[in-house]
Amino acid sequence: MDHPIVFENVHKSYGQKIALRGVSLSIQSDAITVLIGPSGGGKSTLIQMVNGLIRPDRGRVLIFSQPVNYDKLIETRKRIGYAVQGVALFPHLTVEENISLLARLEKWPSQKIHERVHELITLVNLPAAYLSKYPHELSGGEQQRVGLCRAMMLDPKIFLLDEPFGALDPITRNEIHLEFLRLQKLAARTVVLVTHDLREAFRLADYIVILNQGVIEQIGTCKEIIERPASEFVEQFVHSNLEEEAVQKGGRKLSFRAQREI
Amino acid sequence: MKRAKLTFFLVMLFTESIGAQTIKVGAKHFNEGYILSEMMAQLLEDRGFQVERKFGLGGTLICYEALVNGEIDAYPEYSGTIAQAVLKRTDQISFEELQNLLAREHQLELLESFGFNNTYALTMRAELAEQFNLTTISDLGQRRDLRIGLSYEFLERTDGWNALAKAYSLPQRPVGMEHGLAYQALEQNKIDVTDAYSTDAEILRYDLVLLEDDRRFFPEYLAAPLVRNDLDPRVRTVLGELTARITEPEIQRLNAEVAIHKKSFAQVAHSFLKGESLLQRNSFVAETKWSALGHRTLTHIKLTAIALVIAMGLAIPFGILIYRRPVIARPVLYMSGLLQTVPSIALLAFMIPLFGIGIKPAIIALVLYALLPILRNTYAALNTIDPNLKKVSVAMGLTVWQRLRHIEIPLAIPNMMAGIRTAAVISIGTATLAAFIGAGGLGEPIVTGLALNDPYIIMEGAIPAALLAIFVELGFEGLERLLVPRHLLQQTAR
Repeated sequence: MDHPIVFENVHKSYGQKIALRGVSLSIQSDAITVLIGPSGGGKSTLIQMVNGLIRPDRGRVLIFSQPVNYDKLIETRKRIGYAVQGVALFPHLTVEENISLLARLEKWPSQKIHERVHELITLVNLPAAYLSKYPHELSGGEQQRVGLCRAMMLDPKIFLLDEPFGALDPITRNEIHLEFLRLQKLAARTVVLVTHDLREAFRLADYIVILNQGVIEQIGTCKEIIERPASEFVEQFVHSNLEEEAVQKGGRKLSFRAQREI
Repeated sequence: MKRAKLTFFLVMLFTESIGAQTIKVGAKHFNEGYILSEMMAQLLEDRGFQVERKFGLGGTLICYEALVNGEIDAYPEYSGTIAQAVLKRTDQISFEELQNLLAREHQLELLESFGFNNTYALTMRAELAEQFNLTTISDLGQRRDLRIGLSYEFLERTDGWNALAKAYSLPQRPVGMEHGLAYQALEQNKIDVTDAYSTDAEILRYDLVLLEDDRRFFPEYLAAPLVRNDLDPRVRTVLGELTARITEPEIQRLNAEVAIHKKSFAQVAHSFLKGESLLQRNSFVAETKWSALGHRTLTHIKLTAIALVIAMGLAIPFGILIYRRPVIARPVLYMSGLLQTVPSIALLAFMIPLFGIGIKPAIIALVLYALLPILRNTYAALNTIDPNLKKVSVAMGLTVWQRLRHIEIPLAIPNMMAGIRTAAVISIGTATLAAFIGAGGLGEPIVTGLALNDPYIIMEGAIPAALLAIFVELGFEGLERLLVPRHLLQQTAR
C-alpha cells in the first residue's frame, strides 16, 4: 500500500531561524510513527504541515498520494484527526457537543450522531453520563479521552497527535498509553505523534523519527534506534534521556539515604 | 419567542416616537419662557388637544430651528429677538411687518402678542422716582446727581449705555456691576438707577418702577406665540385667546411666583388661566412630578436602548471584521477612539447643523459614543481566546464561519457583554446631555435646573439617571448569568 503521508524535500524557516532543511519522509500506513528530538528540531513544524496549518517554503506534502491543495484545506482536514497538548476541548460545549461538533456541521442525521458518540465514549471507557458534563468537570485523563473521541468522530484514517499527553501526570499518562494502544489494535490508523519524551516514544512507536536542527537524524524501530544509532547525536540523545531518568530515580534514593543518616 | 418579544419592544419604541398627531410645544430656557409655554400647553389641553411638552430646548436658535424643522409646533418668542437674533435685521421693524415677513418667507406665523414687552429698561426705587417726579428716561437728563449702576453686558453692548446716553443726552457716568447685585445695591441705596428686563420679578419685589422709554430707543420685545403655519387652524384660534391678556406688572407677578415663591411653572400657569376664566373644563391636572419622572425615564430608556441596539449592530460586525482583517484594526480602533475624545456637548452641537435637533441627532451622538467600548471589547474578546482552541478548530476542518459561529463568538460573549454593558452605562450618562438638543429624557430637569440655577431641579434628573445606570448594571449582570455558563464567567477577568 502507498504511504498515506509523504514529505518531499520540505523546507521551512521563520525569519532567520530555519526549522526544516529539506526533509523527506514517508509515513507508514496503519502504524504509529513518533517524531522526536530536542525542541526547535522541527518536529512540530513537520506535523503541522500534514493538515496545512503550516505551509512549506519549498518541497511538497502528499496526503494519500495527492499533493496538499491549499485552497481546499477544509476537506483535507476533515479526513485528519487532530489532538494537541492540553486537549483544548471547547469549554462552552458539553462533552457530547465537543465530540459531535464536526458531525453536526457535516449534517449527519441525529440518530447516527447519537450512535457514534455512544460508540466512542464506550470505546474510551467513559460512562455515558459524562456526555452532558462540561470539560472543566472532568479530570485531565478524562478530558484527554474525550479529546480522542472528538478526533475520531468522523473516523479519520490519519491521526495527528501533537504532544497530546504532555500535561498529564505519569500514572494517568500510563493509562492513556494503554488505552491508546488498545484502540490502535482494534482499528489501526496511520498515526503521527510528536513528543519530547523518549519513554513515551519507545512505548507507543512502531517507527521513530529523530529530528535535530531541521534534519532527520535517523528513522527506525525502537530496537534499531537503541542498537544501531545512526549518528553520535542519536546515541547521545537516547542515552542522555535514559540516563536522566536513571539519575532522577537514583537521586531520590540518595536523598532518602541522606535523610536516614541524619 | 424571545426574538419576537424583542422585535415587538423595538417596534413599540419606534412607533411611540412617531406617535399620533399631537401639538408639540417648545419653551425657551428661562422662567418666563417656561411659564408662557405652560400656559399655551395647558390651554390647548383644555380645548382637547394632545400636547407634548418639549421644554428644555435651550436658547433662541435651537427653539427656532426646532420649529422650522417641525420638531416642535409652537413656542413663545419675542419680536425683537426674532428680528435681530434670527433674521439678523439691524433696522427697526414693526410687529406687523415682522408677522408678514415670517408668513411670507418662513412659513411661520407670529400670533398677536400676549400683551407685554420684555425689553431693556432703566429702573429705580418707586419712592425716589416719585420724590424727584421722574417717569421717563428723558427726565433722567435733569438729574446729574443720580448714581447709575449698570450690568457689564449693558455697558458693553453697542446698543447699550453709550447709544442710550447719546440718544437721550444723559450726563451721568455709570459704574459697572454684576446684574444680580444691582437690585440689592438699589435696595440698599448704594445706586439709584440700573438696567433691567422690564418683566423681572425683582421689579415687584423691591418696589421699583420702570422709566418710560419715551424716545423709543429700545427695540420692542413683544412676547407672542410663534407657530408653524401648517398647524390645525383651531390651534391658532385657541392660542389667540391669550392675546393681550398679560400686562407687564402681571408677568412680573407671575415671574415672582416662580422665582421668589418657588411655585412650579405648571401651577403658576394654571392659576393664571383659571383667574382669567380661560379654562372651560377645569379638569386639568398639572403633570405631577412622578408622572413627569416616569415619562422622562421612559424617554431616557428609549434613547439609550435604540442607540445601544444600533451601536451593537454596527460595532459587533465591525469588531469581527477587524479581528479577521488585523490590518485595518488599528485605523478603525483609532477612529472610534477619536470619536470618544470629542466632548459630548461638542458632539451634540455638531449634530445640530447636520441632523437638526430632537431624538434623531441625540441617538446618532449616543451611537457614536457607544461604538468604541463595544468595538474594542469585541475585538479584544475574539483576540484573547485561547490560541490552542483556535488552532484545534482550524485543524478540525471548520470553515471561517463555522469557527466564528460555533467557537469564537460563543467564547467571546462574556467579554463582549462587558463592552456592551460599559456602553449602556456611558449612554445613560451621555443621554442626560441629549436634552440640550431637545431629545428630552432625564436630562430635561438637569438642563432646566442649570438654566435656572436650581440644584433641586437638577437632582430631579441626576438622581434617577444615576439609579437607572445602577439598574442597567445589575440587569446586565443578570443577563450575563442567564446567557453565559457559570464556568466561563469565572475565566474572564473582570
